[in-house]
Amino acid sequence: MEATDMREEKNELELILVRETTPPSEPSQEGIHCRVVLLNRGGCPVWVNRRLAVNHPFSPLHLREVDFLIRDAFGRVAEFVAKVRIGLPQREDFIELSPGEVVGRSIDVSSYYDLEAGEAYDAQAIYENYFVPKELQGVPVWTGRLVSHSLKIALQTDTPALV
Amino acid sequence: VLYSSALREEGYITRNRQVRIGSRAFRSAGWLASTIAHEVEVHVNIHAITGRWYTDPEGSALQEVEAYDYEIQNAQRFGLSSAEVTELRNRRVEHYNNLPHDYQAKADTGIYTL
Repeated sequence: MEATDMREEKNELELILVRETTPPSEPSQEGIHCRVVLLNRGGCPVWVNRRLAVNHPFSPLHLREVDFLIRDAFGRVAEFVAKVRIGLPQREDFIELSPGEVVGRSIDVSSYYDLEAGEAYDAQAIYENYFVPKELQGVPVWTGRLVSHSLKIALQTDTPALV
Repeated sequence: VLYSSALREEGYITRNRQVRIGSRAFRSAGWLASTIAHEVEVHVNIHAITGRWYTDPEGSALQEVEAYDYEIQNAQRFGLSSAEVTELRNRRVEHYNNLPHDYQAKADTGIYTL
């Protein structure tokens, strides 16, 4: 399967990664603000984990939904350098997506990964959910792994890079 | 330490010691205090300031075990409920189970260095 088209066959859930031109009104406006979006392209409703929490790509599976594969021009993978405190997702983190509906969140990628200012990177978001709350047993909660298309990103040279 | 309303995580810290706390940390006063201690008293004061900032899978897991051990040891200080302490123990287990056996043995004796 091509990295540019990683739609899940069983219910056509798609993960989309876009660069935000206007960063959210947070204390630190610098960085690389991206939006991770889940889109139900299928014809049936599907339940998804809308928490979309970011954590280390090797952290326990139930303690993250999103991580990124970020590579420079030489193929070197950017390191995840943040430390995240998070627990299991809760029932209220799950919502039903009707056909054509989306859910997403904004993420400053540079807060989590070691990126060099002025360097260009290819970034792909990864969504994983294998958790189904006991209250939703029997409900079509989407489980599995999705990879977004690749997006070019760069940290502006006047933005302080992570040390 | 900054509050971020958009944060889906309870808290996180970058290598350059920027701590963000999300609304999920505001479950109770004790839980908030414990979350801040996790980030500041462990990840900043013990890891970042001393330069012991592990980013590999084992090191990251080991330092999360250390942070949760610290929270559990300070549960009375933060006024955590028994349910909250149980949750901390469960999270510790999640990270502990990600460790190789030799690092599990080190963590069991309170050694959190690679």
